[in-house]
Amino acid sequence: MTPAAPTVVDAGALWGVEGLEAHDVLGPGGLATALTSPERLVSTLERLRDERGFTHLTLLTARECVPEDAQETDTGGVDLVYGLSRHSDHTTVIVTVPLAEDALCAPTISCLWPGANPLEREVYDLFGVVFEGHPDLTRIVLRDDFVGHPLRKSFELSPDGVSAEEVLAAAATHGDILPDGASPEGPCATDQLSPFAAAALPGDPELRSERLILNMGPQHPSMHGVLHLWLALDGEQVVAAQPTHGYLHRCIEKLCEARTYRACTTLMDRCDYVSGFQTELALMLALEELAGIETTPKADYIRVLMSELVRITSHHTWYAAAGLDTGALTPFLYAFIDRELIVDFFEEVTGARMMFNYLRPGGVKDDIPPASAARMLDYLKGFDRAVDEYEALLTNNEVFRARTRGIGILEPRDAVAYGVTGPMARASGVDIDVRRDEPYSAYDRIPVNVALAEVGDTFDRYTVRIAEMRESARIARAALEGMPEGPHVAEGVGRVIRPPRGAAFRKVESSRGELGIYVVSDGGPQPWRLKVRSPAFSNLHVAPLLLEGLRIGDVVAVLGSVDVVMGEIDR
Amino acid sequence: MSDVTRVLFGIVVLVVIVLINTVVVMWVERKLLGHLQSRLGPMRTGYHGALQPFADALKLLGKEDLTPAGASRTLFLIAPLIAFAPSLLIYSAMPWVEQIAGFSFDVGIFMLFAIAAAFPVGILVAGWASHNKYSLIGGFRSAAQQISYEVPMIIAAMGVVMLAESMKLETIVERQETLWNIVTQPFAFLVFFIALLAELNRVPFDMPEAESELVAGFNTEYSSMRFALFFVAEYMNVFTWSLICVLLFFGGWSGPVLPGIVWLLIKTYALICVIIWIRGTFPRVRVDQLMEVGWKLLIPASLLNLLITAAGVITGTFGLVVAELAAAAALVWIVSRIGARAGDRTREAALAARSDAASGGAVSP
Repeated sequence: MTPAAPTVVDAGALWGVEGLEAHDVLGPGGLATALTSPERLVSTLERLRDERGFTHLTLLTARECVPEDAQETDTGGVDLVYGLSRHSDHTTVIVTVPLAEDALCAPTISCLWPGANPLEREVYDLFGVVFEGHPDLTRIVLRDDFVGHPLRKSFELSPDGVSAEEVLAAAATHGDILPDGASPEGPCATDQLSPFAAAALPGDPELRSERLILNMGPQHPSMHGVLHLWLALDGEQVVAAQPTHGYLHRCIEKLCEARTYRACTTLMDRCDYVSGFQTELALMLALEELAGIETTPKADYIRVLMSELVRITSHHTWYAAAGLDTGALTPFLYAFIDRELIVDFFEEVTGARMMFNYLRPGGVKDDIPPASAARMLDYLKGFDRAVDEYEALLTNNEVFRARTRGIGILEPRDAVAYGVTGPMARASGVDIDVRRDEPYSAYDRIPVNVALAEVGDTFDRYTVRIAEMRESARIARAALEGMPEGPHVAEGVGRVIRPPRGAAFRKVESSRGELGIYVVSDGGPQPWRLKVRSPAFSNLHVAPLLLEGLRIGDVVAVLGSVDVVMGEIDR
Repeated sequence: MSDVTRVLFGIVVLVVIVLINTVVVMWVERKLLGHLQSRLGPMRTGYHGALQPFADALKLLGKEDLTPAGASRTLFLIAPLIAFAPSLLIYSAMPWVEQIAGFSFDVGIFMLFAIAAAFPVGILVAGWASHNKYSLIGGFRSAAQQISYEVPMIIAAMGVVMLAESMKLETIVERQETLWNIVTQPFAFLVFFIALLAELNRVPFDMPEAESELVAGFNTEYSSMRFALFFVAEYMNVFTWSLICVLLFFGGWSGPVLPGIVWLLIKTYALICVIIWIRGTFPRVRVDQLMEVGWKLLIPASLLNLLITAAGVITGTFGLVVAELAAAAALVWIVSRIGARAGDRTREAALAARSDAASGGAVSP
């Protein structure tokens, strides 16, 4: 089938906003794009949000300006890229803000969307764009004394690394990053104390108590890899929390710029290593849209099957961790016994257990062996019984309920403001699911029942994921049973793909939420810019809100329910 | 044999018996927990991994004995000994059967609690001396927990003392030959058993070493034999307290046909299996919930038990059993709801606040 064309916003809805200029529609799929200037950025986005209903900030990134001429090296600046989407009709609009090389400066929008705060830090870190009025504009994935902004095309690592003078110069300017003339009181000046400042406040003066600063992680058994959580404690109680990450930053986005599109697939597996197919799928959708490649019906079904199976294994991992985080050992082993069976299936189909490299432009690498498909179908038929067993271990366990109910409540308002998606948003009653809202691959032929909860506490996040496991098994079964005959990959897709100039942004519903790939092509064989919109990144940065006032034991329970995968957050 | 050599010989025999049982407890825990979790547990060292505890000990012996920089060195080094000593010393007051015992105290049960009370001192010292925040929190948690749970534990045991009209452990066991205390004192047993899990730092009350929160709690910085001392002390305590529980509630060494010591061990290991079973099933409670259960529930419950037992001594066994069973059922009902109830209230409050806000201006995604 042809790649589903994203809905084009009608001009009236979009251009009715003052400050937005009409802009070429980039890419054959026709993402609605608009152009504005830094001065008008905040008011434009605010009006889009309040008057047009674009409440969800789905993308905030930057790209180097694509030069007119491939030989030209001086690119002349950076474009900020904001993606907003609207839940009423599931449209996405991309607003670009061109910045000239000598004025890489824009106002922050973290007053409109608090979730923009860490995203702007990432853009500052990788592109060097300064956001005026940002409450805490520091590096986020690279180390604090890093010199340079590596996603700029002009960035070069000197052969013998960074010199000592450069490090010293950076250290001297650290904390003073605003360029001359820029006022620290931007349009969004905030009176909110950063967690660090709040914790510097003394404890109870009468008790003469002190705050205990605890650095949880990056080496800690329940920090899901290498998350570093900075906690200010009053006894056992959390006064302030701040996640620090970047320990697993492997420059995946930069590496993609030096690889052909096909070679990027293997890097996608390494983003979200717990559910690799989904990131691969997002890349394939964006690439197929950009290059106009069609997939076969069978490939669509296989992609859905793999996405759902990998969602089950991801939720298995989450369930195991949720048990361990609350102190229960047994759920871990129960989940991993079942996970093993599905991972074996992956191995039979793709040859790999985690790093699949299975999706191809126009289809998938190999067909599913009939014997494996039959075995998997048998397994899925009995899957509900396995989930019943998981539930018997935790759901009605009095201690588990006492530990999770009413703990870490995420208000739906905050979920939207922080760009929280996936099971975490659905647990708070925010009814979004890319599979249903913007169906891709074969999801338009296999209906998805979206699991919702009401309150948004740790227990609700648990029940939503448990319901999703059952639903995923049902979808996977439907995909296996309804799989059409035919080739598993489209014919005639070249080895080296050179999509026309343009940009595409496609989303999939990953195990953690809305995972998007924004890819820009300059017409060459390699992506000019490839950005992974990481759901876990946004979900993690809402955690300080949830953790405040809880106790140490709750911190791990709540973080477990956020289900972070550091590979995807740091990239 | 002079008295001194006889005592020394007795001590050596006792220590060997206790250590052998500790090793068996470790093995039973690994195997049983393994099978509860659909796996086999250790299989390679000896018959079904029977030599695994020895392999562990050898491995730990070969490790470097580290003292962290900034630690309070002397305290850090002696803390494991402070924790280990009472675990072993408690056997000086422990009767095994009529013939085998340490010293026979007239206030034996009092002696047991007095010695056991020294154990958390070692943990607190270890947590303090390690110069590590996780250790410190673990040590504090341990001190708070053991103080909170010793009170209901001792008061619950007083019910048994009232029935036996003696604090002497031998007498308490003899009085149970016709009817075990578990029948006449189920409520006291329930309180005692919950407090015992907390006293042992066992799931669901393993707060001091909560590995997902505090890395390893008070023993985070310990390695080599010093870690092994804590480890052995904990398993020894599991055996000790199961034994005490059997003496107080399950008729001790009384039983038909088989010799007393066999009955004692059968009952003790059955209880240990229950403790392991609980570990395989339950998550960990939170520290404030732990305190809440201890102070708001178990202490009043143990006092109520004293009242019921006193009334029961006057009215007779039947009335006592009925009242105790009713109280035990009520306790189970309350314990199973106490934690989630607070959470449910928070949930309702959050929803109510949300609907209030929504009437002012709807929040839609």
